[in-house]
Amino acid sequence: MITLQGITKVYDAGGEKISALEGVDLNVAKGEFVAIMGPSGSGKSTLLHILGLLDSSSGGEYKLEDRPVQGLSDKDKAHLRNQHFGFIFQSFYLLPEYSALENVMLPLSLAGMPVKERRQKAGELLVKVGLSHRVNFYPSMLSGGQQQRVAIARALANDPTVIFADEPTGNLPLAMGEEILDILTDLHKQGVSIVMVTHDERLAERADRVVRVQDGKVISQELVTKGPHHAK
Amino acid sequence: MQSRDTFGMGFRALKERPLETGLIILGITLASCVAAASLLLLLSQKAQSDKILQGPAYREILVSSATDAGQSTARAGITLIDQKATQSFQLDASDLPSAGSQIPQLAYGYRAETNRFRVGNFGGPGGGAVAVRATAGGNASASASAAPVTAAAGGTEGQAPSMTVVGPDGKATTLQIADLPPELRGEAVPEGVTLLKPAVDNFQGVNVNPSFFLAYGVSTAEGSLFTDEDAANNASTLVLGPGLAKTLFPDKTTAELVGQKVQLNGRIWTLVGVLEKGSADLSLANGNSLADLAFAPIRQQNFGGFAGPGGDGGPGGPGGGFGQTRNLRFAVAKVSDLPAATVALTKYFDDKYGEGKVSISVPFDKAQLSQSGFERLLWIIVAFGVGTLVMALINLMNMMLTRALRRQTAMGIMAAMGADRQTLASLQAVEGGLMALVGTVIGVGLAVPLYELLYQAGKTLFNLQTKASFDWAALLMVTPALLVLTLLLALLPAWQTSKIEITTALRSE
Repeated sequence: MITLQGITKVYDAGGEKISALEGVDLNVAKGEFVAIMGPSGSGKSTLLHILGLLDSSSGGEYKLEDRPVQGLSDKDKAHLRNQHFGFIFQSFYLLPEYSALENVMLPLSLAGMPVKERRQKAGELLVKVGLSHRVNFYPSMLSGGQQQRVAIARALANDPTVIFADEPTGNLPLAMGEEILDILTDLHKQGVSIVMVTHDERLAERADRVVRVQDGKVISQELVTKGPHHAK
Repeated sequence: MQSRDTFGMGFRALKERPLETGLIILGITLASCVAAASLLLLLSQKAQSDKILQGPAYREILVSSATDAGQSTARAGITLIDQKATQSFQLDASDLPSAGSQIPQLAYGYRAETNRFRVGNFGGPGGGAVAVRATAGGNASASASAAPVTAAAGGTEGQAPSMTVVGPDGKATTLQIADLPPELRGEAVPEGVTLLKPAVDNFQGVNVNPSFFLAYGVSTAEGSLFTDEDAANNASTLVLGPGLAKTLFPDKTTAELVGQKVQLNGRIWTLVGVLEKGSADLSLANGNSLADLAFAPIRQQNFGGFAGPGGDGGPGGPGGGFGQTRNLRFAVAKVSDLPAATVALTKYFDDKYGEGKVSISVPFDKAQLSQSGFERLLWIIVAFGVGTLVMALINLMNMMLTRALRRQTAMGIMAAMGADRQTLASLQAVEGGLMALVGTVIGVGLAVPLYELLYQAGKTLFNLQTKASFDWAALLMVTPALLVLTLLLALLPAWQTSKIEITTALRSE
């Protein structure tokens, strides 16, 4: 579904060129759960951002369902993000002045869905992530785990084909992190592709494949032997 | 994203910081109020003054004997003039047709002298006082103090009104009406004549030659104007402006007034005509509307043979009466003829009476000087107003940029969710646009009363004679111009801040 070939990313830091990615080749198949691992500064988040069209590469080729995306306009990329991708961030990134329901409704609003329908769908998604009793709560009134559930509901709003998760449990206690991971695993089972950045080996065990990145390069890709967690 | 959602989210962002929002709106309101008021005043004033300066009063050239230059004409009641004093330099009314025939730019020549009409037999029905100045001994500087004269009420017989005249020696003499010369006594009402009783005690009038009406291009709605023959025969005919007619006789139609008689300044007058309504748009150089004045023929002897200011005399001819006078008025057909006519008139009078003997003034020049002084002040106010507005808008832009910076993360989140640059800009634009719109609309609304205040200030400071009518067309020009300016400067930061790097924006928290 997603094919990266020779992707590079170079930052200009005050005249000094810093290479974040150096010729990354990567494929993400439909319905696949891919974990990207690597030490801090290895380029894993940069890779995720390029995959999610949140950032553009300096070179190489990116194809989404065999169509190159590099030449697309800002508007077209925004449309792809809205219709095909969902994002879950370590810091949740909920709009603080909007309620849980309104946060989930945001991608639906951007898609132009009528108010009544979007309200209903957002409500259903919050029920799905176990927050039916927190629909009108603002982010500041929710725990970290609840906020991340809202973020997951928001990511699912437009029925994405891929969910990009950047350290989704990084700011959560272990138990809550497990709950979030269970939700992602369920989504994967329902056929949603998941690309998750983590440096936690235990979390990566849930994935189908682990891609290891170091110094801006993919140093290995290994299929995960399914353990008991995966059967959960 | 639906525009309703964009508007809703922008409006919501506006409410997030009510104090900051309120201050920005207040700043735009005040600035646009000052800018709009000054612009309105400038545009209105310019249009009005241009129109007024094209009027007949500003096509006049006033010629006065130099000794009278700067003196005001007697306005109330009688002025007793020492005969020797009147022997000072006088103009000849025959100069009107004479100069007119020699100077091609002159279209009209006439005399026009303001006069105060008092209702009734001298003091009027209420017995109001009339100022009398007695000058004795041929010494103009030794004029006696003014003495009030209590006069009998119009038509009230049997009372014995008197007046006290104090001479230069300080001796006061009390005179009974019976002691006065016949011309100073009130005219007896003939049998069978019913007088109309005006609703006010006194009012403003002008003694003019018939050619005055030609110069002003005004005619009557009812009745007729008085003629050269009326002037020559010392006829007591009176023409009223329509506004004055309504004030004096609110219960009468103009048609009912024609032919009626009224006693004014002791004399019985016949109302021969009422001017057309269009006379309300015409005014003398002193600002008095023709509609609010009464017009009497300039006569040989005012008040029954008592010499009026400057005297008068002789039969009238085309362009004016003959005799001695202090003021003559000429008019040109168009304002552009004024300079040449003025030069020619100066030469004419210098040749005839000697240099410096006559004073020639052009009301147009004075009015233009006054108007341009006011216009300069207006430009300063406009510059101040627009400057204030620009400062307020720069402040708005700064505020918008600051708000946008504060919202970088939120904008990054929205972009990640699928908002394109246009959507992000629209959200910001709604916020800035609403503040600019509300501030400007309130500001322009407040500009209307401020306009009146500025106008009154200008009128007081610069003695403007123009009417304070609000120019709605100017408002229609100013409002969209200010709206476009404020909206443009409010939308500019919205477009600038909508260009974000999503990953940078997300990290900005």
